[in-house]
Amino acid sequence: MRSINLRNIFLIARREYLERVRTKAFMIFTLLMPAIMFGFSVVPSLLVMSKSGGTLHIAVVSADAKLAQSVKVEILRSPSGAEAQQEEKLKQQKRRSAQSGDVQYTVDVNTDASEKTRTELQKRLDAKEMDGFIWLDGKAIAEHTTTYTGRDVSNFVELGKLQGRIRTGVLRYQLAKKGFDPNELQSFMKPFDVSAIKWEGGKASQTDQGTQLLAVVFLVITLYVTVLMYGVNVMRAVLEEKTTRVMEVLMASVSATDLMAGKIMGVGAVGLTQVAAWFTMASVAAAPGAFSLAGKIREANFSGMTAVYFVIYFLLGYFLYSSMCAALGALVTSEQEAQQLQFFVIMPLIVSVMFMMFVMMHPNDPRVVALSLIPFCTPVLMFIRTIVSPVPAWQVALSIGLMLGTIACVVWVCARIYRVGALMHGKRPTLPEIVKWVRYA
Amino acid sequence: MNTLELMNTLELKNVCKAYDKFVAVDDLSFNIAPGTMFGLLGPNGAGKTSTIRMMIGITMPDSGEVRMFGEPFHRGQLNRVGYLPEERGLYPKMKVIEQLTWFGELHGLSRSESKRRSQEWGERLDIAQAFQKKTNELSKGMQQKIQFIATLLHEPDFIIMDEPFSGLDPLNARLLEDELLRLRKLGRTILFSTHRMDQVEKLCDSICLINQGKGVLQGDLRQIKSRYGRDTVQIALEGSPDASFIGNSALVKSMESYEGYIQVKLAQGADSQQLLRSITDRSRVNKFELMEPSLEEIFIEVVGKTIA
Repeated sequence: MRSINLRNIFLIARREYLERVRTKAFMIFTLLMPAIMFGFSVVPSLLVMSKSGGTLHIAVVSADAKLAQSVKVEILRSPSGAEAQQEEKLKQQKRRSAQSGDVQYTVDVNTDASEKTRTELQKRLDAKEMDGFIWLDGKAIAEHTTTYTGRDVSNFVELGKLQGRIRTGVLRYQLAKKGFDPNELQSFMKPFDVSAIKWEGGKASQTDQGTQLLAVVFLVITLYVTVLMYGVNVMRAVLEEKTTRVMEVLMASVSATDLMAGKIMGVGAVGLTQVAAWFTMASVAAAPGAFSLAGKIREANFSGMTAVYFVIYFLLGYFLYSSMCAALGALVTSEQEAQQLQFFVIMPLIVSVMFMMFVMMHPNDPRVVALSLIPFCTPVLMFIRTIVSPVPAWQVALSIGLMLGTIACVVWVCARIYRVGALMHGKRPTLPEIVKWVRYA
Repeated sequence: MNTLELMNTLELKNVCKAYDKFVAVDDLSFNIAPGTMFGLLGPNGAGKTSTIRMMIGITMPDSGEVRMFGEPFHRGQLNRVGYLPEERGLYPKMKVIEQLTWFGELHGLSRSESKRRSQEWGERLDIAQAFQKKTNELSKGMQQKIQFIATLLHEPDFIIMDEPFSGLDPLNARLLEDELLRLRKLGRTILFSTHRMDQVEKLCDSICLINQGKGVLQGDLRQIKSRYGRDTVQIALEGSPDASFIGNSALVKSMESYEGYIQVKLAQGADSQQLLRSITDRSRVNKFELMEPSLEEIFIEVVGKTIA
């Protein structure tokens, strides 16, 4: 009896699309979002670079001069492992570390490990003549416990590095004492690099874990923000038509289902346009050498399938959440009411984002598999899984099938709520009333 | 073609609609003949809007039947219907001309045709100068005109207007009134829903008065008026004599004095000519006029009765 009128759906969607795309808000947000993202990724690293490239003046105190010297050499060694004994090399290295933002050290050696020295060093700390000292007496070496006394001990990253270097210095000294050839030691002590190679579908791709993490987070947040934002936009659009009473005029020529469908498609097309604009900008910005988050995404070596999955899960997630939002918009009578209830509708989406890290680390844990098949969580969680690990095709197919089924049910229920609610003004209906609408509409 | 002309534009048969326990429309039936103006009257909350919504499929009746253009109602007929709701509904931020064009398209017109007709209407109603503005920049009366145009762009055969003249100054109200009269001449059927009895009296051929969801009075307006009989008489006497003797007459049910004349209601079955003779016996009569009951009086009488 209620047939679908494609022309009307198209007309509604076109109006919704054009009216939104033409607004200043759309233009500003489309341009501003990448700028904000760029700011978030670039500004902090710029800050780190400009801030911590300082020099720390410290002292190594040990009765054993050779031990102290060995630790000093380790501390002065660059992270890349180059020897820093020669003055020229040291200078080069200083320049390099200044660029990468590492802390540089000036190290004194003090062989008088007495209380008098300690008091004197403490005085020099107070006088700001130096930044810290490491105490390596016989007891400290025997117990593998040493102290770093400094004015600023809050930079735990730097302290961690210091810890490793002291350990290496002591080890090197002790091995040398046992008669190992210093050159042989050099090759023994060289650190190991681990680079991860992702194997998928018979193809290897090399990725930097950190980069990939960042890129996944970026994509997921984009997915989440767009689904959320455009879902809420649908709700606003419905509410606007209700409060301006356009609804009644429209209902005299368009069926409620067509109206809702057109609205969701029109707003969804705006969302896709925006995402497309962002990704176009990102790929331009990701030109070789560009320092930006977009570049990181390129580096992360995503397959073309990631883009396909992004669009699929964006659309599915959007249709699911926006139809619920449309019903919500029809239920409420004011923006304030809408905001209170909105939270319950989008909660599953928020919960999925909370599980993001866990899913990234254990993409094939049975619990994660189950969670990612729940239609309300699928858009975010299954999408993450497809990026970080090969997901069996049947799981992807099942998740899409389940989502389509759920969307059909949700749209059916929401269209009924919409149909009745869209013309209601005044009091917000109670839950039993809503159930009645769904049954009898 | 001719058989279609003879068919009623709209037929409601025993239509009922209840929301929860509240009965909005209760066993309502009426017909609207083609090419007529029909007044749907009733006090606030009588069920006028509920009735209209069921006519055009916004809501479904719980029971009863709606027939339009001679067949059971279906959505395909909506392109032949123009509906102006009581509460105006326009997109506030949309340009007027774009809005009108779009509404025309929704009713099945092509884009260019819709635009052409909007322009035509705009000039006829003297509002084309506002077409490039956003809707929320217009005055209420102007918005009303725009809404009026949006309702009529697709040349509907059946026009439904819920309080079409509210918010308009007399000049503009007259303008729209003339348009509606012109459309009736072209054979369109027009349904009015209003409280303004003077307009109904002036424009409508037949009416249905509803109260508490029930049809309490309906039919041809002139017949109804004559059915309610000419029992009101305005009398002006020469000079200003004491007129209380008229009020005391057995022929008179009640009497009210106004500046320069008195108005009496005849007792049931009383002959007005007998009253005239009895007055001329005592005084000179300058005016003795049998008044038709105004629709307002009928409205108050009928609705008052059903409430009591």
